[in-house]
Amino acid sequence: MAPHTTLRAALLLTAFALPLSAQQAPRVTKDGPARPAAQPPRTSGLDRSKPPTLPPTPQLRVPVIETRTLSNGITVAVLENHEIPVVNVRALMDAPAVLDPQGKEGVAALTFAMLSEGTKTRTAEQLADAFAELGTTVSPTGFLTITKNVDPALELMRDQLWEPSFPQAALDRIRANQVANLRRLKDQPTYLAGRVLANALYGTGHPYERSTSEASLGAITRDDLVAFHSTYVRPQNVKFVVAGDITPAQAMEKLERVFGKWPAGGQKARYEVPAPTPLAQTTIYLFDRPSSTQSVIYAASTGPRRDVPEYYALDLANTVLGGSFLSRLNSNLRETHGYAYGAGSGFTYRRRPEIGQFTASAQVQTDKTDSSVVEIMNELRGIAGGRPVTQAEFDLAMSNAVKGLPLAFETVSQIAGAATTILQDSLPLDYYSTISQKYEAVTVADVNAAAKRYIDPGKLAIVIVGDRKQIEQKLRALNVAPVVVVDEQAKPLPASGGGSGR
Amino acid sequence: MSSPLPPRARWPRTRRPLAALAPAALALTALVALPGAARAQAGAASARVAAPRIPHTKFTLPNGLTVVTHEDHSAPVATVSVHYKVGSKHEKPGRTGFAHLFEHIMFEGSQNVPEGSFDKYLESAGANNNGTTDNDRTLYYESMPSNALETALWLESDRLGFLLPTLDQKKLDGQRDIVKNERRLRVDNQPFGSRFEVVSAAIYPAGHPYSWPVIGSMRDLSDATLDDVKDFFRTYYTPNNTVLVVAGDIDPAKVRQQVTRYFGDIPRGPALTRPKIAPVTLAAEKRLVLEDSKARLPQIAFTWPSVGIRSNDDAPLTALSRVLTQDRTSRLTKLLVYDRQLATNVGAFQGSNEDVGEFTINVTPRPGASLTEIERLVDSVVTGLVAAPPTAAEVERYKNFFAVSTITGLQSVFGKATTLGESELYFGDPEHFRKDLTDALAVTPADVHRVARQYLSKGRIVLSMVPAGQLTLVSKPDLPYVNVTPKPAVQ
Repeated sequence: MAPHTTLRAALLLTAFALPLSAQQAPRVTKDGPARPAAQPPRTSGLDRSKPPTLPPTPQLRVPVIETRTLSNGITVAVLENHEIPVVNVRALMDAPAVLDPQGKEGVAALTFAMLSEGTKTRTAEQLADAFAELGTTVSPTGFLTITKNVDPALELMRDQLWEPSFPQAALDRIRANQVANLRRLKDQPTYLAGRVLANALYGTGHPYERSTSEASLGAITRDDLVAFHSTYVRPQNVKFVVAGDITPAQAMEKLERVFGKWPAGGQKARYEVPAPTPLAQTTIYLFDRPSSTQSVIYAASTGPRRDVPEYYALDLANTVLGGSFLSRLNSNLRETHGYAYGAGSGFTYRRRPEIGQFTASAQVQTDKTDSSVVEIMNELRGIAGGRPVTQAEFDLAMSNAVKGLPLAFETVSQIAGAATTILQDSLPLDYYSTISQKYEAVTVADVNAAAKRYIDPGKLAIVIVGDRKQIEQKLRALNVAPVVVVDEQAKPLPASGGGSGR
Repeated sequence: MSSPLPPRARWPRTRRPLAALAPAALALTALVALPGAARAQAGAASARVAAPRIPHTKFTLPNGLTVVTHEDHSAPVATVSVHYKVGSKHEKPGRTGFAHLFEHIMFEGSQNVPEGSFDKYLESAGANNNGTTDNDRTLYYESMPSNALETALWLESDRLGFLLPTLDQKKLDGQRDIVKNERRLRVDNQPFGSRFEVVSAAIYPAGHPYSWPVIGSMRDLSDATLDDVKDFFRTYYTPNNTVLVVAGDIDPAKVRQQVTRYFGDIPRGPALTRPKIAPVTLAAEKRLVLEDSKARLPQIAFTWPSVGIRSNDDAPLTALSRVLTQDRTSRLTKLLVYDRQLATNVGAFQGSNEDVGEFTINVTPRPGASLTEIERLVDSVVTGLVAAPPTAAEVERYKNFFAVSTITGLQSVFGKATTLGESELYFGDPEHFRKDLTDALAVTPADVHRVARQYLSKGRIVLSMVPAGQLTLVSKPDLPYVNVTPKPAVQ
């Protein structure tokens, strides 16, 4: 998986509500406005040939993030917004899958799935009954509920996080279901492409390649989950976000009451991510999925950390290349050639400032797989210096980045998401207030320099999942890069060929 | 990983308001505060809230365009949504997929907006935009910082009023290729991707407006001509067939002036006579089999013809679906996923369109589980509800979830705009969505029992989906079935 996390995808906030008393609630009738309508203007004199002038962008209203600390040291971020009577609470647990023991991939995910399967005081059915009473499913790591139900929802969250009972029968059931889901995932071309790509880019066994398999699920015992829980699901690895119809004082009082006595212990989530061996040259990894009517194409390399100085320049470069509808990749593969329903690109910045990833992607009709590879490579060479970003492209990307900010600050869930980004990526609390200036400090030369530095068309892993019978020879004939027919581990198949890798 | 781009066009197969509206509680006492409305006290029970209001104004221009505005200054954003009363059910035989193909063409420029500029104006203003097509309607929208409102009105009015002058064969051909790739992405390259269209084709008689898929067939997409585009535009893309909603950080009086200015001189189109489309019933069970070489595990789905959004039975059918699969204690989920552990997942839903609906149960089996055994168990649960009503607790259980999702679903200006627009489009009342809530609140165990008897004891479609060549996996393989596996698509 290489989710596209562009900046704006992670940008989520809502403006502070005006006090409701200041809002006029118009009287409504079924038939029309209660007030007499304004004089309808004459339509003559309308010049349709020019767009209307754009009035000044409205003042950006960024929510205030209050951070406080519970008596046991847990950080709490509160974002007050009384627009509607809902509250979103999130427990940001730092207990990622990277911590899974070798050969037991899936422990972290299975541990969190098991938290809802019963606690010291409630069976799974009793938890479900409690959720139904609230009208809100309370996951161990969060809920969105109406204001008056915050207390009971917090209590259910506490119960699951703090005192799960890990019934063996539930583990067996969930494990069997996860095995079934894995088998179904292997019918999905994007899942297959993601697996091959992780192996090609990082190498088998690397923290960013390891993923749940039937074998690893089979190796996991109840003791593994209990150990993972008691080690990592601890106050020192959690931060809370509370957003919506609640004051910081109320939020702190409630959280202190529910989580203030959560016993310390366990250890911080620490792990090392070694730098993978860089690819010597661009290589096409072909995975056979017979009778595919489209090919999934991922062209990828490792990428920079979240804290690179060129972060904003790179985001604008990506907007031009593949981060928007008008981007070069989408314009080329979709609008100009009609090879695909869409094409795009993105930089992934992982939770910690570790190794990131750059991925360009498209799903293209089978008979245009080779042509699409040519076009994708053209665009990557272009952005890397062959066709530098123009002033017009730069202006559009900049304008979109800065002017689109108000849309990110609307709902309670968006606000909570914004605080989540800040806490997880260790950004300053005033991050969203300063973001416009950070963009505006970037020049077109900065954008081109960043693209050149971080996008290297000569060192890409190009993964293609499609109907080998129809595409292999044409791909070889391109002479763009060596073509290797591989299995899911990105290992070459025996030359006898014919193996489908499935 | 999916493309980072928002899809241009989805087609929801169900007609739930986009904001996932759902029933609230029994006592309609309080008003729920939404921006622009008065705050109110919450009810007594833990999740009991009343149907929210979305304060609005409504007026109609002389050319028939219906306009709804909603004022909400809580964030400096606005949404324009344009709802056209045309969907795949209005297509001509041999032109399936046309309404959606046309939707794509609407983004390709108009008399005063050169090709490519539509998105450029909006992207540079920081706005999002998209369109979606389903069986009944086509929706276009812009979500933007509120200063871009007039730009959006100018763009929408230009394509409603002046699309044809710049239309050419190249635009049609270009979008045709893209839509074919959209079909490959969503249908042809997905395991059992044609599952929905084979069921529609079996439930409805040949030529019935709901019998073909919104995305259409490759052959029909190939056959679409420029004349088709022009006819479709002149017939359906008219002010009198359209609802325009403007919501958010706006001044309604000013919006009224702007809308009048931009849309007022677009001529009224022909009056449309709408043929009455009645729900269907199946006299007997139809057993279908779909094979797919791209799938390695089987699935099974059961579909009964039901009713559309205008029927009083829509709400009790929704309640019935939740009694079956709301959570782990619900009848079907408990039996198949928890007690017998034959399935990883079970879903039941009442999917209602404007005129017709379908009640569907989907089961995702565990590897090795027998479809025949799963069918037997599904039937035992369904038969139980045909024979006797559910308990009051079962019916009440789901209402709390609906109550809460009602509130949370109306947080965004976009959610409120599309809810108002769809309510107006189908019922001529922007606040009709509130009646959906009251209807749902009124559902009793006897109602659920009645609709189970009425709809789930008649003919249905049983669709076994198996990996290619593994016909031994079909449910009840001794019963006669029709193999509906599509031939490789004509590209």
